[in-house]
Amino acid sequence: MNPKDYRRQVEAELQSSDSGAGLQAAAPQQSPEQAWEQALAQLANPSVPADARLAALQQLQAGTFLGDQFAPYMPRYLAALREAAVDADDRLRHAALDVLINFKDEFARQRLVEGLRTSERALVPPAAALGLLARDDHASVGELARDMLARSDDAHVRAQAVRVLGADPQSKSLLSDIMKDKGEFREVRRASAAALWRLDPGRFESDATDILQDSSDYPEIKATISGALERAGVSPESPSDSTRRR
Amino acid sequence: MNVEIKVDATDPNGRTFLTWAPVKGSVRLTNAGGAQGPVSIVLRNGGKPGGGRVIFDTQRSDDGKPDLRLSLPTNLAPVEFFVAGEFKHPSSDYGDAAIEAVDTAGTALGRLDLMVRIRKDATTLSNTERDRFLLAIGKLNNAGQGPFQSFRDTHVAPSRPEAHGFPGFPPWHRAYLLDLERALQGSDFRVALPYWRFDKPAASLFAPEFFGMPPSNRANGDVIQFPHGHALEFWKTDGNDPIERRPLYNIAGAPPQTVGGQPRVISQAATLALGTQYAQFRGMESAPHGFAHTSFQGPINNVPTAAKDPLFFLLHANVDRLWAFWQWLNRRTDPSNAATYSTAGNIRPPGNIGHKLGDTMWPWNQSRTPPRPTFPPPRGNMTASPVVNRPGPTPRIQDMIDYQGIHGGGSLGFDYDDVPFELQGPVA
Amino acid sequence: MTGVAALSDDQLAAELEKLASPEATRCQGELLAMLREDALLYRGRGTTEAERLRAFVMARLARGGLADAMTAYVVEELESGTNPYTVAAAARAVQAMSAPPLDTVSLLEGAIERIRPVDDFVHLDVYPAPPGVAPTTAVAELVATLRQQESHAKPPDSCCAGGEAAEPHPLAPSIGALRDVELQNQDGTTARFAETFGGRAGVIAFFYTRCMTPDKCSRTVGLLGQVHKRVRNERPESQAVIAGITYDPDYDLPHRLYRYGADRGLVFSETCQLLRSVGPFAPIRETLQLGVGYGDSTVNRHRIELILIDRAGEISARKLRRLWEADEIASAVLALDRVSA
Repeated sequence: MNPKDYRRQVEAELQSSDSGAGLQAAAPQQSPEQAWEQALAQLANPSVPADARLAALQQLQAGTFLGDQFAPYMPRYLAALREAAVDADDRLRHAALDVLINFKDEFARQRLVEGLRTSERALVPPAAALGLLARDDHASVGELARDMLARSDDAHVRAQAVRVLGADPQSKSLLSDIMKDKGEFREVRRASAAALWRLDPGRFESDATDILQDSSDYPEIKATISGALERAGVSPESPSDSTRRR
Repeated sequence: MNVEIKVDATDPNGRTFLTWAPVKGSVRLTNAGGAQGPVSIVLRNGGKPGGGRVIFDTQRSDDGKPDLRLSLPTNLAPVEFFVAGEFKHPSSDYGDAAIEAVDTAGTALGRLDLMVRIRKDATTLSNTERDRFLLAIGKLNNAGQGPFQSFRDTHVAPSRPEAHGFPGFPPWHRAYLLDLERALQGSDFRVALPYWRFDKPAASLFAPEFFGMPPSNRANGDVIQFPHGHALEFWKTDGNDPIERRPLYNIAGAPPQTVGGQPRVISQAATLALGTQYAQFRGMESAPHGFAHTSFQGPINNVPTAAKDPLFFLLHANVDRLWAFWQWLNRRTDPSNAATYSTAGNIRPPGNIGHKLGDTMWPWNQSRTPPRPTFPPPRGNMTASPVVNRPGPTPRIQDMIDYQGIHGGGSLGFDYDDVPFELQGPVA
Repeated sequence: MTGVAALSDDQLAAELEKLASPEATRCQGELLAMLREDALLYRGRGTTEAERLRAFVMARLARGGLADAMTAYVVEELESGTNPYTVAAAARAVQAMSAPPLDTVSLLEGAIERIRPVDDFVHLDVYPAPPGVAPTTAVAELVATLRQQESHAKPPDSCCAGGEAAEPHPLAPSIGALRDVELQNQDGTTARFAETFGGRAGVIAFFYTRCMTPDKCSRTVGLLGQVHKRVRNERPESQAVIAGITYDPDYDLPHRLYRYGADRGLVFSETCQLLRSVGPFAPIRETLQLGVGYGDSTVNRHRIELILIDRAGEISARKLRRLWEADEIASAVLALDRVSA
């Protein structure tokens, strides 16, 4: 297509577009600062409907992308998020905790840990809580994850617990056992494989070879392991060599 | 009688890659075959049906034609021409496009296979293109042990002022994407970075075969559930973190364009309508860009963690495409024109470093002098392209503006499927 | 030290009770020891929790008249701290100092820029801190301290003018006791401490690849590469060893050390290595009295830490807590290398 013809086509489309602005500048109704003030007021107000508070949260979180311009609002935003994290609405709680955990907020971490220790205090379900905590490998929740692994028979909880333990080198043996356990949920075995691959590639390769050679193991697990080895350029038959992994 | 066809945009392995921007080529007789005088030939498309197509001209123009008649001297001297990918006809594989030289009888005299390598809307990729891209980026990550971590480590809290909230937001991210795309092409030369057109429904992008979805029940966490053997199945960053992402909108549609009357992930038309001056247009960093990020729960909604998710790069490819589209529409490619690039507005202290036209950009400038980050830059110099010379190892803001080389100097080696190459007339 | 359980709530309360009236009979050393990275109250805790506790301790000690004694910790926090709580506590401590260091104003200015994007309300006088609005924020504390320092500028006190703040806690004299400790380098090669460092001058910096503060470990390892380059350029025959040893040997396996170093410009050789202990890290940590604490799976806090060793294995100098520059260390290594054994 000739660019000049294309230009005519595009300009015609823009003129008739439903943005209502055509090619003229469209000024937002509020300045960013006005929008943030309004959003802070909404987010911090428990009587505002949850949908509106979620929208306010997104407004403010988008503001953080502007760096210095948003910086003066940060303390009030964090305070409002912590209020939202304990709100009656579970979507709002989860959304607020998600943002706070991305900020490595200690309040959020403590509340999630409390909720895993005492279910009555849980702000989000256990798999979700473990998933959020797993984002910080300095959160020191390994013992909690081992406890959840011992107590829970929920596949998602177990997978997230394994993910937490992927930050703990002391858990290599446990992860190896889980990865090889044909009685374990496949999702959990996959999570263990991913965690072990990260912690100890040599051990992963050894276990992977055993699994690939086991005719009774599941094709999905073998597909997972083969894929990982292929992407890393590792042949299961070759001896493990730390230099090869560079 | 045979001819040899050469094109400037050819790598050391003899592979040629075109975009919409014309590049110089040459053709010459390799043997005159007894001809007594100049030999008349035609250069034309020789690609596969449905593959990439090329256009020709004798000068650098935006008005190329599907064929070009040339007269080749019997002294075997080369004759120059210009060739470009034909707009709206990109390749989907290497070799599906070609330049063919024929004589006046239509007898083939020579051929050059090539690829019209273009960044496409992710939802339009064939399964092969999709899987090729996923494998390339999966290998780059290599379960957290590959070079992808260096890209992730570039987009962190201490480097925020290099790239966000100040005038250089668009060019910095253009450089960042280019660096990643070239790294992907080092693994598979057929790959171009796709973009997520976030103002349109893109359900196929979130299909299990592509970027996937988390468990349908929020209670089970936000880790993406890939099929076994998927290229991103073992994706890791920062240790053991897989991809976590939960859309906060219905992916059968697009994120909302407005909420409560306020702009969110606004449409392309509304983005373009922000203004014809750069100082106005860069407000798109807020809407739609910021709201595209916060359309999800997960690391992608936060600047220091956003680059952990590979979707980040498709999101930003669309941001860059919007800038490129705006540049084309408003003829904003001359960096010396304040309408094209301006530092008006909020200034990064001190001295707006990193955001003035002549400033180099971190990390590619390897600077550790404050106010730049003082830790080792995670990336080295800009990844070189085997095909083009620009932008050089330490790109400046101005080097990222005229990405197609409208004003000369060659292109940066990428183009978008819906942004053409058009030489500029008078600028408003 | 990973795998150590944190103090119970009652035990923690008992530890914090020591701060109730710090100006009373408590031994100053015992109170200051609560700021050590490996102090009991931080063990087994996550980083952010440890930082919150640390901030509370620092604020209490400052109020109790110990601000000057903890100058080294305060300066460290102002220069490279990234947590609003600890940085705010450091700012408050400066207000209580009788003789703040000479570079306090520039440190405060730098801290304001660093903390501004992550500013937060801070409750420094109560632990655990409530989550909501407080009368002050970290940036507000820093700004208030800056104004105080600018308005009360006075000639430097003779005891604290210039130089670095004294490190309040014990420092090891030599690496001799580590001679038989087995180390493994980024290539997987093992050797004893004595084989790696014996009879050679050099520098050893401590780091770990999971460090979340780029200005600490990432910067440190990058600078080691620069030190090595300069030493090699000025004296190609030098056998001085430029080395980094990881705090986190169980996680920092050779392939990880290799990538971390290579990504930061290290050119590995016999004289430039990243190392891990093959056995437990405790002998190295205890012998060298390293400033590092652990959560349940990795480091929860550490100081910037570098030692310069002479050919006899004696520790001739240290860089602790403060950011350092490659040229200074390279010059020191070259000087130590010149001295005959």
